[in-house]
Amino acid sequence: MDVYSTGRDLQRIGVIPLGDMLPETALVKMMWAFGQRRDPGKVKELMVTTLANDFSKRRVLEAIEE
Amino acid sequence: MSGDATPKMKVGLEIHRQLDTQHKLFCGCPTDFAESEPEEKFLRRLRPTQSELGQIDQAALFEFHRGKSIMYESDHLTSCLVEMDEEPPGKLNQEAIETCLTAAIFMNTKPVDEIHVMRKVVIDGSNTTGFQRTAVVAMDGMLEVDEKQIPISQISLEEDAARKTTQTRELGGYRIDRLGVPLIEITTGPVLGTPEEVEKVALAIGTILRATRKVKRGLGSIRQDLNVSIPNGALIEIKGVQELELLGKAVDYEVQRQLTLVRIRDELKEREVKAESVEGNYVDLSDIFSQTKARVLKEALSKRGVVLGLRLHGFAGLLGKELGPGLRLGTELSNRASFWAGVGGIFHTDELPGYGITEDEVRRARERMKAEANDALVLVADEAPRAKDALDAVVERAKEALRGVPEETRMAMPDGTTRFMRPRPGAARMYPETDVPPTPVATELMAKLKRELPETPEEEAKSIMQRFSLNEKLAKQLADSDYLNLFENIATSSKVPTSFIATTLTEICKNLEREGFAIRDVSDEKIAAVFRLVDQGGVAKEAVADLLKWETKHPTADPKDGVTELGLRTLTVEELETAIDRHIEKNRKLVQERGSAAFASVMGSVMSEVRGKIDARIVSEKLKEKLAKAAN
Repeated sequence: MDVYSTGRDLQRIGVIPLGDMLPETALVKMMWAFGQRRDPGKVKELMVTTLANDFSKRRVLEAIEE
Repeated sequence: MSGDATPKMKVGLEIHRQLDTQHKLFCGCPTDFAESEPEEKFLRRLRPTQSELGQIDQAALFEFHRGKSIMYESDHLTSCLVEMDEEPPGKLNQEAIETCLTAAIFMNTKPVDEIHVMRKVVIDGSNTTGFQRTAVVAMDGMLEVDEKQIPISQISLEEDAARKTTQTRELGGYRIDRLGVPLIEITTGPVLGTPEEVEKVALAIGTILRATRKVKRGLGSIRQDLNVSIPNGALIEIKGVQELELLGKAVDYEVQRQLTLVRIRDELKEREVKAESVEGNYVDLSDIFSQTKARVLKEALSKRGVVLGLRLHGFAGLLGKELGPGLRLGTELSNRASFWAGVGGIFHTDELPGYGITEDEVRRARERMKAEANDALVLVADEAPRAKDALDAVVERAKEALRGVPEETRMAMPDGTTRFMRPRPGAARMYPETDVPPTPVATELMAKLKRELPETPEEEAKSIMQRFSLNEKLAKQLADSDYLNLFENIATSSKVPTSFIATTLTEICKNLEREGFAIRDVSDEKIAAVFRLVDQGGVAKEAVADLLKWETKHPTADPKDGVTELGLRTLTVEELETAIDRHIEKNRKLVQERGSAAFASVMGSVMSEVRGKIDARIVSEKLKEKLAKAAN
């Protein structure tokens, strides 16, 4: 989300980039995270930490097996 | 310099060093290199597009017309989609920024307000993107070396390029594990006046970089570039001097080379050689060489190639002129031909007859080309279009000889001489990297870094002297070496005497390097493993040097295997006693005559058998006991 200015604008208004996390996963994770912490800062921290392979720090080429 | 009066040279230094950060500059990949075979390969073709500033790189254009492709090799441990240029770069690595800023504080340079990443056009395929990302972090500093103020013009953060694996005419090969590893680049002002000064400044910068405790050591972790110029000469960029000790030599050779080129220019002027007379028609001499014994020509002709000849008016005797060890003007022409046309090389009449080309063939070629005594001939054998390109490049270089020293980027060879690498890139090869947002350098961050500044090398020496009860000399040597971190790790995690670890990592390693063993390429883990073996009593201290030597030949092997292979297992006391008995028996006469006084010579004899297999102290104790018994 650093490449285009739209992404940068989104970050400026508080949108948290979550890499390749699936939207469904993000929703469930956020519901869970708010159940753990009240402070939005702490919730953000939880969101951007990989807890159960919910998103990857590095993306590698997925070879397609024939 | 010998001979000539020392010319007023101006030398600037650029030192690049890999940073030992947790992950790469723009992605989460580790900064370690691949130990396994590549998992995937992908092919890319160079396609020169106008840079965003509207320029086309001539060299890239050439390679493109030639249809050169690049094969990249990668694996999932050391690279990801970012290195493949399939995913945009992430944010700048904060750890790398902080390391650069720490070095900036040490060198009194001023940090920039915002770090802007730029793209520097690189067209040899060593970057999947076609450019290298680079960012200035600090500027305008001073470093005091021997009471002289050396200006530090820039400290930059760059991404390292991919590692070259294979290289053929049609296909370049690169492994992308190294691509994206952070590099710090320190640039001095062009003020260094002697080869000795260049080495001293490089040493001082190296010491400061090590003090950040975040630099890598070992093969290729340091690359030093030189910018050398002399009056009437030209600014020459020398890339990739690997050893500090070679810097002075490289400067010396370069000054010599430029002086000789200037003399050749004057000689050509005297011979009244004009640029127009260098232009020439290329003459097909294939028929003269149809029966030749010269391997290169024969091979080219058998593949339907041609032998083309070029007459260089007034160049006779000058092509063979030595510009430095193993380097002649002819070599320069040849390197140009290889670069632009991909030919193996050229022949010129200053070195002929030779290489299987006979005197008669040379004579016929000269006749055909109407060469006069003062003219040199250049021959090249390849497919017709390549051969023509090669001679075009030769003509271009020969014309430059009329003007003196051409500006170019040269590559350092292991002996300190240089070879043509590529034309000097234009000044405008940089443009902004729009995928990475600028990173502000906060005043709070600078304050924090200043508070947490690592110890200077002098302070470090003092502190390890006390903490590990070392003598001053050893402590200083350690603080000045690349092994300080490793020393602390081993010393705190084992009971091996600290002075032994220190001596091994400094003096012994240095000696082994001198003997030609590349200890610097042995990984920290392997060296630590060797000491662990000593700690656990698996081998005697005396075996450490042998094991380190063995590791240089078996970089991925466990030192334990080395113990077995070299037969370095510790002897039991019983085995030692048997050995001692044997040696006393062998020296029976001496022992009977001199009793305990025979100790020294018997000890030497025993040690020659058991060295490295058991502590010498035990040997001496046991031997004394045995001798005392034998005397009674």
